[in-house]
Order: sequence, then structure tokens, then C-alpha cells
Amino acid sequence: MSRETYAKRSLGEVYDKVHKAKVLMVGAGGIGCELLKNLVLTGFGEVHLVDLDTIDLSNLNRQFLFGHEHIKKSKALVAKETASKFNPNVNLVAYHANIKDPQFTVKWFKSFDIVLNALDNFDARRYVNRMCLTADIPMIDSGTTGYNGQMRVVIKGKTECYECNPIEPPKSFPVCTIRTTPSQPIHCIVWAKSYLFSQLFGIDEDASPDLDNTENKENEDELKNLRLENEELKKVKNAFGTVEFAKLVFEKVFQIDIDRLLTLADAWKHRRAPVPLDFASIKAEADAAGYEDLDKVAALLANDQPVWSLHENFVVFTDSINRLSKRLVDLQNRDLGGSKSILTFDKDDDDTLDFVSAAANLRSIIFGIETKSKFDIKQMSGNIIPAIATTNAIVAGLVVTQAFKVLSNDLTHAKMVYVSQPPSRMLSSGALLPANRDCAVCGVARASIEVDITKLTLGQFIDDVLKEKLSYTDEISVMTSKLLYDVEFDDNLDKTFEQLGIQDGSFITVMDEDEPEDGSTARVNLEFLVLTKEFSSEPAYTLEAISGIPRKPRPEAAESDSDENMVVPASTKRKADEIVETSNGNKKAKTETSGTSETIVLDDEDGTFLID
Amino acid sequence: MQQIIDDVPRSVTPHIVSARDRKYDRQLRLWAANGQAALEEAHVLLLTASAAGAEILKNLVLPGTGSFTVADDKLATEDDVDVNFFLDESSIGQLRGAKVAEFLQELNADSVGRSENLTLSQLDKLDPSYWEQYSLVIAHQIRPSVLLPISKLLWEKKIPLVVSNSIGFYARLRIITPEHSVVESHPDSTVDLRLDCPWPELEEFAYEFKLEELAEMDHAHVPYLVLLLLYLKQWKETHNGESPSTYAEKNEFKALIRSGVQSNDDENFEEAINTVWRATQATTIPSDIQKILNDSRAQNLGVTSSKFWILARAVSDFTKSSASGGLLPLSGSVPDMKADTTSYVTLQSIYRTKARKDRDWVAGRVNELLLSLGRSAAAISGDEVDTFCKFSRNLVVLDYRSLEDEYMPSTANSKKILRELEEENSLMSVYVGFRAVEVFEEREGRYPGTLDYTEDDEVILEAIALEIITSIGGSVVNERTSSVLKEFVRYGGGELHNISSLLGGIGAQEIVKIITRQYVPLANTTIFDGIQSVSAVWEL
Repeated sequence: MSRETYAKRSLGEVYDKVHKAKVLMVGAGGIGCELLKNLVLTGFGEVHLVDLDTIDLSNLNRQFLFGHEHIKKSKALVAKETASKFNPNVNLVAYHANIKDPQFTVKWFKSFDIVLNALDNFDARRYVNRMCLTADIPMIDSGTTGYNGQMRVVIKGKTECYECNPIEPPKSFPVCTIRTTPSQPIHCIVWAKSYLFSQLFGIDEDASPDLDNTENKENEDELKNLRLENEELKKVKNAFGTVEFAKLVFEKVFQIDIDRLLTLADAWKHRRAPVPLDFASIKAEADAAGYEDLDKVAALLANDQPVWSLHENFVVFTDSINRLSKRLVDLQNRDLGGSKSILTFDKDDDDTLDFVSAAANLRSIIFGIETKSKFDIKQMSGNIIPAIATTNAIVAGLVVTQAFKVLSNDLTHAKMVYVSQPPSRMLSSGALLPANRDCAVCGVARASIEVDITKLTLGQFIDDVLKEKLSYTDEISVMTSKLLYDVEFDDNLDKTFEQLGIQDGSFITVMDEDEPEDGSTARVNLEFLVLTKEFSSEPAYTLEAISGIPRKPRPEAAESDSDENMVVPASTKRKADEIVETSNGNKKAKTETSGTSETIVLDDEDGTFLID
Repeated sequence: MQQIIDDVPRSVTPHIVSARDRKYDRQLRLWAANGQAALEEAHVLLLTASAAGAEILKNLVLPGTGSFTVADDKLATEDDVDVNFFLDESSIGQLRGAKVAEFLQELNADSVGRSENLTLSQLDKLDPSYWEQYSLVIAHQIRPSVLLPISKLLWEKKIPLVVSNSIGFYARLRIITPEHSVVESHPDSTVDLRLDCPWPELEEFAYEFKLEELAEMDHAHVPYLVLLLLYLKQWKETHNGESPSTYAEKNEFKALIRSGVQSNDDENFEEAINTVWRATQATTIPSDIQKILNDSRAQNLGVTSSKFWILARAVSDFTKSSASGGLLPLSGSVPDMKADTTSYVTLQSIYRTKARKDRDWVAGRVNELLLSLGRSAAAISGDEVDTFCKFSRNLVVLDYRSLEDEYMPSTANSKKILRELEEENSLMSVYVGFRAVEVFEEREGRYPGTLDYTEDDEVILEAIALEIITSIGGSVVNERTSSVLKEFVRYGGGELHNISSLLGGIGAQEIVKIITRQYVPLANTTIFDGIQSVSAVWEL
């Protein structure tokens, strides 16, 4: 194109860099669709996009590259197809794959100029964060929730990484709260979804992450009781598929189990005792209301807003159990030996959602807890995050402006920006914070190694790689989630990686404990990412990439934190992905307009070397 | 088993929690069914099929805005296709508005789109009744001589107008509507505990607890609201009936609560201590709410009064009645807390019962008011009264300034503009830049920077900026503004897609807030600078 486009005019000198840049976009969902459009229309030349998800109806209110005809198809492939129609001049490469797949090696990451994260989950973000740190590629992370959103630039050694501030693990509930002493609607919803539903139609409860099954002295008796309940429920399951099944389940969990709970007299001395439900009388009530008529049931289910009465919950409970049973029987009849079909809870699957809503509400009634509408239960059971096009558009627009900064190497003006309510300040932007020196993720040196895990032994790894190539001494510890080796523990030296439980994608940490006599400090921890590969000859590994392994800062060096040229992170510590509070945003905006404390560059540590 | 299961009666899925509700599920979580209904009734008009305009509409079509019209008068060029996602190579030479409407329509069949070939420079010549079919108008880069008369017309007809501009790295958005009231402002919390002035049922419930007689387990499950009420009672007995008010007293009060802790399990005491500050605040009517209740629109109702003002009047009367103790209707919500189920449920019911009583008073008053205005009692539903009472502490009324007031030197917010211009790096320079570019376009019939030789344009634009600044009492175009003006010339009036897209996000978001009357829209101008990635909001 010889004509000077508006993009070229506006971008000036940066345009060439933008046009030649090779961009990796991880995630083609809400932010991803907006980003791809922006990249294609601002002159980017080559964009690779990775997403393992498929398109769902509930995406269409914002993911505008997809239409009804694309439901259940790959997001990455359809996004590429739609976007190329509008600009055939851009080289788009789509992968319908998990970014954690081994095909996406560190070397592959290194081939990009910038990585744009448009993901919806912590796990994948953490992974991409580590890969970008290992490959030393700048990354821009972004995310939105309803009307709020945020984005920030992450550059190894210069800025905070995605994990410099600890991320809260998802909430789980103690098993006794769920099974014996619920006090909030969410407890009953978790019971219905993670316990009852799985027991009846799915996998065993123990595999469910929502429940904390830790046994201790205090809950010993209760847990014994619960195991008894499980045994009984298994017996009820023998009636699976019959007319009686719904009744038996109902009586078992809403009457017999509650009667038994009542015998734990101590538990109810100071709490309101649960009141068991009587199948026959509620059924009579439901029949009297005309619910033998299935059309009336369907009409009840067509509106998810009202809060159902006792007998309405009863009707939905029995009806959904029968629907789910029929589905499971049909599935299992189609099973050809091998694995047995199960049903899994899906908030968008009405049969499963009806069951969980009704069962949760019935349990709430028993324990005197407020009941909820199906609409609300959908949100509480499915961790639904509100999402709209507008916030995604704002955040994606910001990501591209920051990508211009990164590509033109103008890091002093790179930012983190929060989009939030109230409207008195739509965007709050702040200078990037320096890396947290104690961060277990970016505070370490990183390497990746391709290994034949069936061949390479820990001993060979230590001798060849660590000692010979990387000049480590004997004073080291090597660990995964457990200790594999240290000076006083050499039992594992003859074991292969496979025997030590190391798999593709595992991380191995090397801790240097050697304090050299010249007074220098030990090296920072080195973390290896293991990628499996078959090797037919020795050595059974290739060191794919390694960054420098700097020495730890001296303890007194911490004083330099008060240096004027650095933004001190201590006062601005926050949970990752949380919107910065007003006071914080104001403070940042202030430092920014005053134009003094913009410097964020930390000196590169020494000791950099590369192994090919 | 196959036989048996087929005989089990069951309804047939999928039920009609409709495909529509499923598609919109993620946004219904934000504005619920009533917000969605408002959106589906709306008809939005876009003036100028620019990239930014198309991006605003895209974000309105996707969530299901009822209908949209794109009005434009140009044929699509290669430049348009470069920057506008809703045009492609085949659109070149065709009516730009028609093509944009066509591509936008593909996004959502629930939204009905059309286009009109209107001469944008002659919009002020249209019959005034033309505008009445629209519920909101978006005007992108319409020259002031045309925009001002339209904005006056729309103001009279109470049709909201959203003005947008996007040039290079700069964007601007302005909202104009005579009055915008919000009941569902979505505050972080509607909790209103009234521990400083408990009503008899609440006192009775709390004072029945005898802390010293409780077993350890129970002691740890007394709701913290009860703890605070008990300790406040104890405090008042030794302090002439006064609540702790000074900082020192509040600390002393905290210590008093802490002295009651019996075991490590007493997290409820921690909750109580953490709430001391809020609990000892006197419950009053916030001043901004009092202002709304006292507003003449509430006090002097007429046949054309809106529901909002009738409800405000009813609540105002409530606060003056003996039923209220001089306070707003209670919201009735109780926060989560460590408590045994019975106490918690009883507390909830005490708060809800009181809230219902307040609400019933207001509902009765609303009926009387409607009757006296000669309107049907059904004009305001019970749900509307509920919502109004629940959010009565968080009502918002925005009285926007007209565009005319902003543009006329005599009524312009001159002080604000001049003061901001003196701030280092202030985005007010960008605002002045937009105003100068508008005048330039009006005089020259083209945007600055569109000719090969741009230095003259820089001079002309700076002269225009000086005119604007002097007209409001300033005297110089400062260095910062001058460099912003040069940037404007460099952009040649062209849009940069990601900036237009971002403006599309901001614009549509504010429009959704206005149409749904939920959340608080911005008042009244925002400027975005994509070079620094910063924005500013001002009332101009």
C-alpha cells in the first residue's frame, strides 16, 4: 500500500515497527475479539492467536467476530476467518489449542516481539507469565469484570510480573459446613452441585475441588456419619431409572439424613435444628396446585426470575431428576464397554441447573435459610462473571496504545491502567511498579530443557547440566514440590525424571547454597521448565533456553528501595486483579502529573550468559 | 432399565428460558431484565458513519438495543475502509451509512437497523418533528453551526444527545440532556444499620441476649450487630445517654468491646470492633439526597411530573412524618456476618419487616399523590416503590449543562478551563484543540493537516485557539496546547482505529447507563489522550 494511511500518519515512526512486529495473542474471547480487530486495523502485520475454547451462545452479546452459525466451533479459527475477511493484508495464524501444549515451546515464544494476554483464568495467565519471563518477551496482560477492567505491561526484570503479588486461591468450604451445618444459600448450592449431583450422576465427591475434606479430631465423628450417608445413597442408586428413584432420593436426603442429623443433639443446642421434609404431603400440595400436568411444569421452568415455593421446588426437583436419569441411561446404553458415562454440572445446561437450584432450595428450607431464584443460583453455582462489549472495547483499545509504547521501546511511558466506576474518573493510570525482589516467579532465573524423561537421571542432570554447564558447586538443593536432592540427600541420583514424577510442563527449582569465599552472594534460584521429547541417543536432553542467573542482592541493598527514582511498592501492595482503591489511583495520578517519579528502570543484574 | 425410564413422567427440555435470555445472560447480571427491556425499546440515531460512530453502535447493537439508524451523506473511500471495521473493499464508492448499517445489522438480528441519506451540513433544516422518533442521538464530528441548533431542539424535546470526536490519538465525549435521574445507581452497598437509633423490635431482640450467660460456642455466634447494640447500651448508661463521638471515645468503646472477648473463636467481636466507626455515626439523610427531596420538582408536582419526582415527594413526606423518625425508608439489607442461623434469620426478618412498613407508608402516599394529580394509581407499580425506597440513600439527579452554555463565551465554564490549562500536562489542551479543529473545519471546509504543506495549518489553528481562549478571558496559547495543536495537524483529521474503538466502548457504556437509567453516567465531558493513556472528566 503506497497510499499513506491514517494509521501511518498518526503513528509516525512507530508505524514501521508496528507493521513488522510479530504478535502473539493468547485468548480470542471478549477482549480477544476487540484486540484482533484493533491490531488488524492499526497496521500490525503478523498476529498469531491461540484459544482452546469453542463458541457458546452466551458469548454473542460481546464477541462480535462470532455469529449463531459458529456456535460450538473454535474461537481461534473463526476469529481469524472473520477478521481476515475485513483485512486480507494481515498475516493471521490461528491455533485451536491450549497455550500450555508442548508445541508452544520457549523458542516459539521467543519468536514474537510482544505477547498480548486476553485470558479469562488465572492458571493460563500464570503460565503465560512464566513463559514470557523465560523467553524474555514483553507481555501485556488484560482482564475485565462487568464495568471494571485493567491492563498492565510486564517486562522481565523491569516491572512487576503477573505474580509479584500473591493471587488468592479459589474459595473452598469445610466439608462439615456443607454437609451438616449450612448457614448461607451458597452452602446449600455447593452441597447440591458438588455433593448430591456428583453422587447421583457424576464422579465421586472426593474429587470435587469445592470441598475441603481435611479430617481432624473435631470432625471425626461427623465424617464417620457422612461416610455412612454415602453408603446409603449408593444403595438408593440401585433404583436408578425407575419411577421410584426421585422419591427415594428425596426421602433419603431431605428426610432420613436430616432425621439422623437431628440425633446429633449437641449440634442443635445452640442452632436452629433442621426440619425434615415429608414427601407425601408436599406431593399432595404440588398435585393440588396442578403440577401433575407437565405443561404446567414446563411453564414454571420457563421463567428463572421468581423464587419458587416449597412445592414448586419439589416439582422441579423430581422433574429434573427424571430428566437427568433419562439422559444418563441413554448415554450409558450407548457406551461401548470401557469408561462409563457420567453427567457433569454445567450452568448453561438447564437439566443440571434445575436440579441444583431445586435441591439447594429444598435444603435451604430445611435449615431455615433464604431460598434463591434459579437466575441467582446460576450465578452463584457457575461463577458467572458479568461481561459486556463496552469494557472489553476500552481495555483492548488501551492494550494497543501500550503495545505501541513497548514496540517503540518507550517504557518510561508504558502504564498500567484501571477502568472503573464511578464516572468521576473513568480511567486511572499509573506508572509501572518495579519487580518484587522476593517474587518466587520473576525473582528467579529461568530456563527450559527438553528431556527424555525415561532416560535422563537426576544424577546426569546434576553433573552435566548444573555442575558442568552452569558451574554450580555441590552446595545446591534440587526440588519440585518435594526435595529431590541436596548435599545430604542423594538417594534419587540414579532415578530417571519419570521415576521422580516429573512430567511435561513440570518445573524444577535449583537453589544455590554456596556462598563463595570472595564475599559475593549465592545465585538466585533457577527454575527449569521441563518439556518432554524423545531422544534416541545420548545426551537425552537439550537445554532449550536459559537466562542469566544473577546473584542475590545483599540484604543491605534493600535500602535502595527508598531511592527517589523508584516507586516504592510497599504502600501499593494489592491483590492481583483487584481494582486499585480510590486513594491509590489518586496517588498514582498525582505522581504522574507531577512528572517526577516516572523512572521505573532497575539496573539489569550482572552475570548474564547464554547457552545455545 | 431402558423400558422403565421411558415411562417416568418428566417435562421436555430445553425449556424456554429463552435463547434470548441466554445470549444476554452475562449483561443481565449487570442491568437485569428491566434494564434490558429499556434497551430493547430504544431507537438510537447515529449521525456520521465514522469508525468511532460505528464502534459506539456496535457496542449497542450487540447487547440488543431495539433499533438503530445510521445517517450519513458520503460515499465510502479507501481511507474509510482502512479504519472502519464495518466497511470492506467492496464498500468503496457506495453509500457509507448504508454499508455500515448493513454490516452492523449482521451482528444481531434482535436489533433492527436502517440507514438514511441525510445531508449532515443541513441537519438543522429538518422538520423539528423528525427527531421525535429517536430515544437518543449520537452526533460524531458534526460542525458546531449545525450541532448547536440541533442540540437546542433535542434539549427541548428531552432527547439525550451524545457528542463524540476522535482524531488521531485524541478522543472526546460529551453528554447533553436536561435532566437525568437514577434510582438504581448500583452503590457498593445499601446496608443501613441504624445502630445509633434502633427501633423497638430491634432493641427488644438485641437486649434479650445475656452475653455473660452464654456458653463458649454461643458467645462466638452472637451477631455483631447485637454485640454493638448491647455495648452501646452499656456505654450510654455511663455517658449520660450519649454515643461515643470523639476519636478517643471510639477507641475506648472498642476496648470495651474487646474486654468481652472470651476465646479465639470470637470473630464476631472482631467484626463488631471493625464496625465501630460506622455504628457510631449518626444516621441522617445525606445532604445530596435532602437536596433532591427539597427540589421544587418534588415539592411542586404537576400533571406532567415524572415518576421519579412523585416518588421523591412521597419519600420527602415520609421523612417529615412521625413514622420515619426523620429518616429515609430503611433499605432492609443486612450484611453477612458470623452468626448462628436462627439469630441471623431473625435479624434479617426484623430489618425486612421495618423496611416493608416504611415502604408501605411511601406506597400509600404515592397513591394519594397520583390521585390528587388525577392519575391512575397503577401509574407507579409496587416494584417501583420498592426499588425507590431501597435505593433512597443513593438517588442521583444530574442536571446537565446545555451545549449552548458550553459554547457561548458568556456562559462557558471559563474559570475551570483557564485554570486547567495552567496545570502541567492537563488534557484541557486537547479540549481546546478539538474546539479549534471544529472552527477550522467550519471555516476552511476541511480538517487541518489534509494538504501536503501543513505549516500554514499550524499557524491558522493556533490563531483559532487563541480566539477561543481570549473569548473566555485568557490571553495565550501555552506551549503544551501549541504542541497538542501540532499533533492535531499531523493527524489530518483522520481516526486511529484503536482510539475510535476505545471511544466506542466509553460512549456506548454511557449511553447504556442513560437508556437503562442504571449506574451513574458521566457529567458531562471526558477527554482521552492515547499518547499518555489518561483521561479526564469535567463539567463544561
